[in-house]
Amino acid sequence: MQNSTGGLLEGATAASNFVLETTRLLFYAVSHDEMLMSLPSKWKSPSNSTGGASSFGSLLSERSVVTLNDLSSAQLPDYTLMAVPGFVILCVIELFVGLARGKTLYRINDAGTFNFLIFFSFFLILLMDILVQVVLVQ
Amino acid sequence: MLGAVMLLFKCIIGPTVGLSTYCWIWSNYGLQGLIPVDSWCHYIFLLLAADCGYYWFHRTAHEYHFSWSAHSVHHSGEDYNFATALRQGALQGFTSWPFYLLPAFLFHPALFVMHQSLNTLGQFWIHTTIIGHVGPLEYILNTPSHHRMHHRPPGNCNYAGVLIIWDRMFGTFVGEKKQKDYYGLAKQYQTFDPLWANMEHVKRQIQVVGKRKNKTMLSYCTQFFRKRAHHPFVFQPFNIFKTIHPNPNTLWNLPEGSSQRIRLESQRKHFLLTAYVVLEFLCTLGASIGLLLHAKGLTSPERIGTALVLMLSLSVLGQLLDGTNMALFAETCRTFSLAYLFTFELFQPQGMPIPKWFALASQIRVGVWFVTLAVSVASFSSSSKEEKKKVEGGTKVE
Repeated sequence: MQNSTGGLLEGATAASNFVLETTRLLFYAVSHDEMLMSLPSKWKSPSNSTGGASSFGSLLSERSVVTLNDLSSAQLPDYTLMAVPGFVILCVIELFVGLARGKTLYRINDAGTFNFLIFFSFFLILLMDILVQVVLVQ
Repeated sequence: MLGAVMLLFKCIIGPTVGLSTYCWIWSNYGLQGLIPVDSWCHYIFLLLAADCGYYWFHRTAHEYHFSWSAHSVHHSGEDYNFATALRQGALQGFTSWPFYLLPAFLFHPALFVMHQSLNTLGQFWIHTTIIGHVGPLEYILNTPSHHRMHHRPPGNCNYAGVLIIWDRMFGTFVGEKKQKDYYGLAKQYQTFDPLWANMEHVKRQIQVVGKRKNKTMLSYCTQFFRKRAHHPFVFQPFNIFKTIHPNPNTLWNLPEGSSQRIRLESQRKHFLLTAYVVLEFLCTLGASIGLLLHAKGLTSPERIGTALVLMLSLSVLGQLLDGTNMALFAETCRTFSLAYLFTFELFQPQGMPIPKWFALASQIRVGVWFVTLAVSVASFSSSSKEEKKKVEGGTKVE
């Protein structure tokens, strides 16, 4: 009995943590330290750890180069992807709150359209990217 | 030459090129140590810079026909709910990136990417009618109350992303006095088709120029750079301390009464047809995931072909929701051609093995489609006969 209650509690805690983790992103609740943690160490400014202020000359001379490839290889957290469950959770909550107050806030037609639009946009961007790559390679 | 043209094309339209340009500016001209990456100033100033960039992008998107063509898709939702936030125009990313280049002189690209994502995500919760107002936070944050005014036609106000201070400073703020169930475009699209939704405003502008007596190629081009909303340039920073007119809404209230808008509905409505569209959407979703997982193993023509088929499928499904005869014909062609493709194994990419049951499944789909078609057409014709009888009966009584 105790085991099952403990399991239930653990499950509930895990579920609430998951909901909190995914929905907090929708409210800008990410601290600067958390962002810095996900940065590769070479991008965390070494001059600042010593507390020394940089002269204007050194600002222009001592520079690090960051390219698009560096950004993709740095494996930065994809907040949009991480927030997808949050979208669903809030939509479901909104739907039920509306129903509880006697309002239908979602229509299948409309919901269908926004889904189509999301995927349509995605494929258009994908298609353009492939086309440009093909032409550039040729 | 062609390569240079395509590079230019990519520079103009590619959202990734926006980020490449950002990186280039930061690497070559950025004042890299001025605001240390690990200081809180970097976080706060970057939050403000990304939000200010969004404000100006959004304001321009409403001001010019060119950028409104891409952004109007977001405003086409007549139901105002969280899902409205996810309804984005396919071409919007191509018009926004120039507005984010100024922060490149001060802020690290990696942190900028994270802040830009959070800025976009931070605009999700404001697309709702279930939150009335949030008290003193209305002075600082862009809230559901402020954003509802933005989505209520004509809606050329409250352009902020996360912080409403930009609207208050630049003179584009309009407070909500009463919540009204009236959202969407002033002249609503007449389709659920995502392809047409993305092209509708372009089509309308071409029609506008087409009606003129003297029209040249230049007049078609200049039409897109004409203003559709006019905002005089105002900068009043102390406006952020001004009182917002008291909002009579409580925290949790919905607009009373029924909607004041006649929403776009299908011409032909049947439960089976809707269920079919939902099922087909799920199949398309599955195919999309399959494409993404195996994209690297496919050749370019295979990837282009698959992406095109999926886009056309979404377009046809949207048209099915419209319920037009053309949609029924297009879906018949689509199911038949896919069944033909899989039955005779005409699409066999090496990098993505197609399971054998696909052929059988595609044939079953043809059957399911014909049942759906027959039932929905029959029910539509009987309901239209009833309507005719009612109309005739009505005229006799008169």
